Amino acid sequence: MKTERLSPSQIMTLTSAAIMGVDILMVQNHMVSIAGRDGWIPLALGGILAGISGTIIYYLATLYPDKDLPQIMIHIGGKFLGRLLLIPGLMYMLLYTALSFRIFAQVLKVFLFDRTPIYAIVILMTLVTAYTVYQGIYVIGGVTYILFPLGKIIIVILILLSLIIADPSHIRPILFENTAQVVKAIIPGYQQYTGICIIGYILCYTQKDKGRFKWYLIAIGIAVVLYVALTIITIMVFSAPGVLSLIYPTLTLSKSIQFPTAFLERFESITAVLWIGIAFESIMMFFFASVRNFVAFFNVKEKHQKYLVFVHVPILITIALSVKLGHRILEIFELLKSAHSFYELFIFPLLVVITLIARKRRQSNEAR
Amino acid sequence: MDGSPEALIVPVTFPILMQASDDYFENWIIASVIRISRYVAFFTSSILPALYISTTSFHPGMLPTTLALSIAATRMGVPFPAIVEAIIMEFVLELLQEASIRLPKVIGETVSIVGGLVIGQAAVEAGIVSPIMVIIIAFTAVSSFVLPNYSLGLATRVIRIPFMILAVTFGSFGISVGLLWLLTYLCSLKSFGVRYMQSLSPYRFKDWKDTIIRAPVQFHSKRPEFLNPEDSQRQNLGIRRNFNEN
Repeated sequence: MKTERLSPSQIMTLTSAAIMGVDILMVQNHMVSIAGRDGWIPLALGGILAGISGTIIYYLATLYPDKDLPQIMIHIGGKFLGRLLLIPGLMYMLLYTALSFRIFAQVLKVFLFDRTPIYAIVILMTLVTAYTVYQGIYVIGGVTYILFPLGKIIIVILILLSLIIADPSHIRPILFENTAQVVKAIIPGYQQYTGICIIGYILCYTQKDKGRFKWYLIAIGIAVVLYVALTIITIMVFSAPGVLSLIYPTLTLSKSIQFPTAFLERFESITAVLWIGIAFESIMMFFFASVRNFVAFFNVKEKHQKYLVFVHVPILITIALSVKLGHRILEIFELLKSAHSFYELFIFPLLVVITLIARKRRQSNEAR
Repeated sequence: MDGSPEALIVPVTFPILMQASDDYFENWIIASVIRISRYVAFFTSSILPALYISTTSFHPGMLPTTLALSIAATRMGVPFPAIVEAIIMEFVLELLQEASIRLPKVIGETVSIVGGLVIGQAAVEAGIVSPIMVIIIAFTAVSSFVLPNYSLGLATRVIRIPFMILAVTFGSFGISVGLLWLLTYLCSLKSFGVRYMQSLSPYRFKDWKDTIIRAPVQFHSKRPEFLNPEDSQRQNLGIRRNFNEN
């Protein structure tokens, strides 16, 4: 029996799942608030930037084929500086996971379970996610494989059904007296693809295959196409000022679709239920990344990784439930993503440069 | 083996448990439709009562108004909530199934008729359970019999109850969480070193010709990829070719 490793195509499902998480419900609002009716353009340009940034992270991970991102940081930076460098990333992953749980619970409470307390949703979701992370990356990969098509198909169906009520005049005129805002929104557009860094956590578990990079780019491509299409259709349906007034435009979009004679009366109930799977995939990946950060930071043995999952559960529940900021939670969420994009755009390329210089020096020393 | 007419086939995966020997004697389209119906039956057998409970208790707005009103009308006068109704019916059904297995064949059939028809009808007329719940439970029981592997059918009968509890506590969110837990569990299982969900996850499109569908015989010349066979070519290919030509 061959040693079990993730298949190259699993890079696509895992990365795509990580990118498209809870953000899929509010990406339109955030982009329209900066670039107005042209919000989809910086999202597309940000996607290209994410492809470039992702390539750098991928390259960094291939330089250390047996290490994941936190281990690479400690390897390059040394025990002290490496850990110092890891602390912001460690805090980011932990807070992002906890806030994702909170936003997830808030959305479900608003749209589907108005009588269910938030703590019940958070606790149940944390436990089931922890159970999956506890099983390890191969089980995470397996679960994501099954959930991946379900989530993507429902988004495509939502986009297609929304075409009936879309008004193309809402996105016209394109780039009219708005170029400066569009340029300004490219970095926030890039920040919507924050899950690209997950490749640094999973590449060391995949089969060494030339097709890995292709699958990674496909994952980013899927996320870019679906995000941009969803943003365009939402602006077409609600217009830019309308999108601004909606906190979760994707769910409101699905709410506006009705099947008067079909078996199910409202589309948003199906979307909300299937979105549980989409959010689960994404949160699971960040949960796993957070656990890996802790493993590297505290130098925990691989076989003891599962205990860190148990340690995470009360921490995540406490953070998720102690946030009492209402809608300001979304602002904090965006702030976190901004902070992490600094890592992706500056720190990781710097690590690549340091590695290449160090290797070149070593080679020249060996030659002497 | 050793005088026993039975043999164990290992490793076993979830798709293998959905295969029946009859599939290979039927036209491939018919066999494929039957096989897809088995996958549907697996889900209905596991979660149909839970879906009914969550929809009627938490999300009646999901249903068209006329259907929601007709369900509400059938439940008029029933003294129990949907979950109690479902558990009573499940309990009776389990007793009947066990009784019909333990008794001689002729009496077993009588028990099925008396239990299924007479008790069911009497329970509805007495107003203890609603007719729609009888339909749901009957449909669920039939679904569990569709599964070719008896043990898998038993498993769906067992997980039905936790799903119903999750549905009555958390509605469709509870069912979703239950399904995610079940999916994780199935993905974590291994049989003789082979993942239980192999060929469905990770995708092995070459093996899908005998997974959810049963492709025509000429496509079955290779052994399943997930078993990592040393020789990927199946035996008796010549016989298979002759069979197709005839």
